[in-house]
Amino acid sequence: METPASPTPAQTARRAPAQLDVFRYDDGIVRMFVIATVTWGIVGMLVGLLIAVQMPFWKANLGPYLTFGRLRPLHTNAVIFAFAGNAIFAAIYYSTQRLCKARMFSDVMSRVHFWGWQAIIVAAAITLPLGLTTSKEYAELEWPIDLAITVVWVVFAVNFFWTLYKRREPHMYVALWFYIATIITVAVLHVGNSLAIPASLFKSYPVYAGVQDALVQWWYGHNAVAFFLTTPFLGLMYYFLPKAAERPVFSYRLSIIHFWSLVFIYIWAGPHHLNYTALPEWAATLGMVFSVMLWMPSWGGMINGLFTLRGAWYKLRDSVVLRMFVIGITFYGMATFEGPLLSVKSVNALSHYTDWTVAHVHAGALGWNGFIIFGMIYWLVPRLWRTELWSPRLANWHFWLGTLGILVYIIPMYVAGVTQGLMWRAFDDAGRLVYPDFMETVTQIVPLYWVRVVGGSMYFTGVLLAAVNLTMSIRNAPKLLPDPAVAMPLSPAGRHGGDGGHAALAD
Amino acid sequence: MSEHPNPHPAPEADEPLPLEPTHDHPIAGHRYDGIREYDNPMPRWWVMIFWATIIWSPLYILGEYVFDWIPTYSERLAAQTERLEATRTAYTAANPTFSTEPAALAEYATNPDHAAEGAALYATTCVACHGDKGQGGIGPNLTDDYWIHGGTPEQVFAVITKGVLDKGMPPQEATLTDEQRGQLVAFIESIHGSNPPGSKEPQGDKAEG
Repeated sequence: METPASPTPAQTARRAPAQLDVFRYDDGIVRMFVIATVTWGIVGMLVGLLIAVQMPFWKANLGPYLTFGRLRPLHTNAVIFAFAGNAIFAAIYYSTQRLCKARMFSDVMSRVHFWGWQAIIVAAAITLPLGLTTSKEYAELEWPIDLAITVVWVVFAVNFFWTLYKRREPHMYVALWFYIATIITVAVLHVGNSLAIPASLFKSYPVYAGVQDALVQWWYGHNAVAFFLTTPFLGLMYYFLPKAAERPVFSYRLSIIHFWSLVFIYIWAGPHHLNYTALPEWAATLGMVFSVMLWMPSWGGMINGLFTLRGAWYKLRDSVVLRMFVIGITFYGMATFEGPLLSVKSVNALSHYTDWTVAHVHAGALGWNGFIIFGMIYWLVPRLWRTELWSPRLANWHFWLGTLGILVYIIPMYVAGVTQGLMWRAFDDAGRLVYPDFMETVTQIVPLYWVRVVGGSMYFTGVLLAAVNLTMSIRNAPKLLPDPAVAMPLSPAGRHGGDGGHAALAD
Repeated sequence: MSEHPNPHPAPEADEPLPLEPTHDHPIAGHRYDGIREYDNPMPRWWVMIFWATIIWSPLYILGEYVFDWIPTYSERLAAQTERLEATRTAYTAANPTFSTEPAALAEYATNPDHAAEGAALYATTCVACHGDKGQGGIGPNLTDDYWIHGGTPEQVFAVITKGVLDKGMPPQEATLTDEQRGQLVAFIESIHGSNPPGSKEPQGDKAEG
């Protein structure tokens, strides 16, 4: 193994290009999605900060339009579908082209996807404060917007799959598997949960009734976390982490096993959101055991990420990108241990309806999604705009403000959740509730809500620093940013760069 | 791809994907935009825990529905309710019973100590609607001679116990003991005629005598 074996004559013949196949990647669309990511990130987190203040300070509920009840879905929609959504698209458009050695199938479809998605976000930002909502969590948007989402998603899917079809690489890298799972499953979830009968332009009723509606809703809601905030981010990690670390991926076989077990098991876990409700107990039990089985498939991604850094840990000292990835993956590991734990009925009996859930979600959202996104952006900016990052120092400040901000956010929320959960179930020696007034359990945790505001502000400040860094870097960028050109040997055997499929591996 | 010296050197390999895992050998042909892949074995602890959760899952379901190892919702509710009832019974047995007979209530309500206990309860439970001095607000004035549902200790006790849901008065039966409600009656009796500032206009009928 010290020296590679000499190529056989047949291999030499195959590798001698008769002709070069020259093509260009579409990086313009990636730049658009990156800018949209940061822009909507600021909007979404600013709304988050406002509703965080509204919790302990009710006077911050302004008028009918800017009250907690209307802004909370705006916050979740903005950070999930606008901030994380645009980041996913940036990652997919950048890495898919390179992993397929092909330009996106259609520039027009890419732009329809981009502008269509931004229009949907604006529509959400208008309708939610007006109180137009289906009241389904993470699926609040009314039916005309749901239809628009479907159309834009189909455009995205056709564009993506056609790019896969005309790829020049024989094999599909693990990142692409995760993107495929994302695109297919989000389509199924969105259509399945949004099936409704319109009553007017802005009002519809779901086709499911009662507890069936609740079950479908949480099949969707849980898998929105799975296939919007997990699988695309794992795909993203599988591309950008080894690129940034310049190390091979730890284990191909682990990636196969954890990919298939993750996508198979995740889809069953939704009923754990309905423990101790009208949902039949057997369904909740099924959701719970699948959630527990999901623990290791989730950790497979964490292991493959962290172990890929073996031999490259010293690089963390100088690379804010790798440091953000490591913090992100670590929070992923914590959140995916906590998820199965919270699904266990006896734990859920304490945690459900408390701020423990809020802490759990934000460990995942701020830690995993947020840090993976900003790590990716700091890696992409110099490459997309062909300039140095304006200030690595500022990026370093972002890293520390963000990391500490997450802790200052989640720790008081864990304390608040456990405190309130214990107060609700406290009985005195006469068998009476110790805290019969719900308000008593709320006023108890108000100080913790203020600490959360501090943590959120720290994280938000970090994001503002990223925006400044991005803006200044773009200002320094050359005016002309031509699409990067690539030359591949033109293979006579067809578009799949050889004999196609796995046979190409046997050379 | 530039390789920095490191403890896990990545040798060039040019062999097909092996059936058995290898250690830190890149898989031949797996180069994706410069990314290579090892085929390291999956960590043993990871595989073991994964199997353990897979084996545990059907056991849990069987344990709940076939073998009765794990209580269901209704079994848990029954057990907890039983425990609570036992606590309440024990408490009642250990403490003298509080009489809600009209005469006993009227007697109880004249004691200033009971009124002082009631004042503390009033401050957390009643103050939001009836005002800090009983002057009224959302709810009626408790210091004047006029009563909507009657002003005898017995009648006031009944209103506190059962509430008047039509008018927004919540029942306190489940949240306060008989004795605590008696203390509230004592407090309300004690502020009768105090005519606090900002008293709400009379509502209901003037109490006789």
